[in-house]
Amino acid sequence: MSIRVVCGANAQQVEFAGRTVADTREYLQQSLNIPADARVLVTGRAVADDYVVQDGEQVEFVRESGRKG
Amino acid sequence: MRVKIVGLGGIGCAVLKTLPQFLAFRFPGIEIVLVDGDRFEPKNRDRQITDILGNKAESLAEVLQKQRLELWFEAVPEFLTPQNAITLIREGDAVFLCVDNHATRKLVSDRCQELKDVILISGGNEFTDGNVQVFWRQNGQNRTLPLTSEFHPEILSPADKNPGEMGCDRLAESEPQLLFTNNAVATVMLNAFYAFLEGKLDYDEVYVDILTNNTRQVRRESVSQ
Repeated sequence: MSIRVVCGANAQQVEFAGRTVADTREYLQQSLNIPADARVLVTGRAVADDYVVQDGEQVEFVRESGRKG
Repeated sequence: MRVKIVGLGGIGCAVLKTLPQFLAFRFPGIEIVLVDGDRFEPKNRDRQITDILGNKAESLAEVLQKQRLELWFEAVPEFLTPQNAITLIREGDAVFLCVDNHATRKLVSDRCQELKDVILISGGNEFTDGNVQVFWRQNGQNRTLPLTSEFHPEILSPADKNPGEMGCDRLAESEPQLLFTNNAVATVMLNAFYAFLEGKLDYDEVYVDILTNNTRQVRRESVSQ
């Protein structure tokens, strides 16, 4: 029952299927350095924080583009 | 093809460390246009590739022309504005966008959207991570997403301002940057350019994190035309 969670360049496979996006964000906030206001895509579709992630899905917390150059 | 490098700070200078040699080998005689209205100051010395102080575009063009590569360098000592973008970004260009604000990213992406054939490679970074977005138009069609896609609302509706439309006294102090991150983003930009030339470009975006040493390329499903 695993899902893949990505944020920026980093990704992690976790046994977290059946939990909400909000739970996932809280659980991985530090290890993936997830911005608090990051938009969420599940398998490419925008979802709300109460979406329940299914086995095999990919959750992406979309990082903003780098600002500096 | 003409190559334009817009923004000559940490990322732009890193791009210029190797791009000219490659272009001289692959496209001898090609013109490279350097665009930046900012100036090199003594405090920038750790990140710049010339000791010449003054306008960044003019200083770099002078230094690079002396390398006697079979290339022509043109300096445009201006910030990009809606007015000069029309003449500076043109059909068939390869644009390396290395600026420090989302307003200019939106300006250039919107300008490229008006063209039939153009490749725009945009890099940006925070202190230890960043990303590269690639906007490729071919025969009037988007082959990849514009910088202003729904995935990047911060560029679609930028909160910052284009320095070309601000008075000099209002230009923000540049924030500290890590040269390693500038180099990592520049390398990904050059990789994307090479993939484009080889006909193997198949992603919209690449994320970079120098602390974990990870990169991740992304091909988005939704394509706005």
